[in-house]
Amino acid sequence: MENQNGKGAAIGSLVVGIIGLVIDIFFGVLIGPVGLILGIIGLVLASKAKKDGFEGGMRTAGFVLSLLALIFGAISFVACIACAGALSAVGYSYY
Amino acid sequence: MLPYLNLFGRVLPTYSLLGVAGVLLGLLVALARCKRFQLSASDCAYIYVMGGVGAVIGAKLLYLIPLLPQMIADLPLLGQNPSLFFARYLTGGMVFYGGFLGGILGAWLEARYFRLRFSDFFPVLVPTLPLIHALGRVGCFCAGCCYGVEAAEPWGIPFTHTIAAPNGVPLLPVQLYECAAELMIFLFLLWYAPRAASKGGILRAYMLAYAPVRFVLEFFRGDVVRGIYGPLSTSQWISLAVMAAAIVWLVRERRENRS
Repeated sequence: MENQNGKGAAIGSLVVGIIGLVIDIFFGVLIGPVGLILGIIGLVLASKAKKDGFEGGMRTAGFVLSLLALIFGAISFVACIACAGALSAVGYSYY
Repeated sequence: MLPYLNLFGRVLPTYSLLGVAGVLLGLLVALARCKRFQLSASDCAYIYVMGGVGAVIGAKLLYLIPLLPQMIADLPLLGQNPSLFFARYLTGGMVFYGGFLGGILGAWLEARYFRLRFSDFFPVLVPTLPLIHALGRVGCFCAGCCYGVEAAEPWGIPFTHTIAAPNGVPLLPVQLYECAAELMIFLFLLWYAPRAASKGGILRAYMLAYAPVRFVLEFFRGDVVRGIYGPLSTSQWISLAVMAAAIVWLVRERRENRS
């Protein structure tokens, strides 16, 4: 019988990853960091499922979707230091 | 040069696109080398990704630490105009060394969580650091940030559509110099990883290769928002600390091997 330990964490990872990805795709520019934070939570849950010994597609799907949520969130979030300085100087908001 | 790219009907910052491309390329390189070092690709992927999470958090924190007094003063903005507070502090602004330390911490915590020895993964993880950074520096060049001092052409390149550097002024493309140095360090680490006497030696080699490069290149930087403390910039002080830590580590390891 398949090991059920960690199944809840794997499902959680999948759900959080999907929500994060949807937020990134439809509202990314406005609330990109929310998708990024959900991506991080999804990855932590996938790690917990792995540690608990849960194998299977749900854990992998949760990991991949959470990673994608993190990546798409990061695209609207990450910029380097000089950009930030210059842009805040001119009152620029998102880049 | 090219601060934004229009992809799928959306305007996206080139810097972050190249940064993400670097992270994904690094993941592919790490996974491709797992078999050679008899490591689990699944373990490696989790450690790499959590290292990436740590890197983003660390890079952000090190950027925010010097801004703390200003941030505390701006706290009322959270109630009045949260989007302005968010734009001012949470978007943009990353410091490489914060990412380096945060990345190591994140990856170490994940390895520890899985009860794995972190140093076993150095041969596949450490070479990806300069690769990611190299692509990030191309992103800096595209955005026009982290630019060099003024220099006559052909050494200097005038930016035309930058969002950070002065437009029309020939500037030393120090971002591309750093990118070239990072790619050389990446190739060296790929060669060195299977030959290193100890697993820690690979991380130490990276520290000893990158810190002097960064220390020297900082003298040719023209952007003024990096933070200057005394005669040196923040990154130069950290470079000195990284070099010192690597040398102390090397000396201690040699002493232990002798005794």
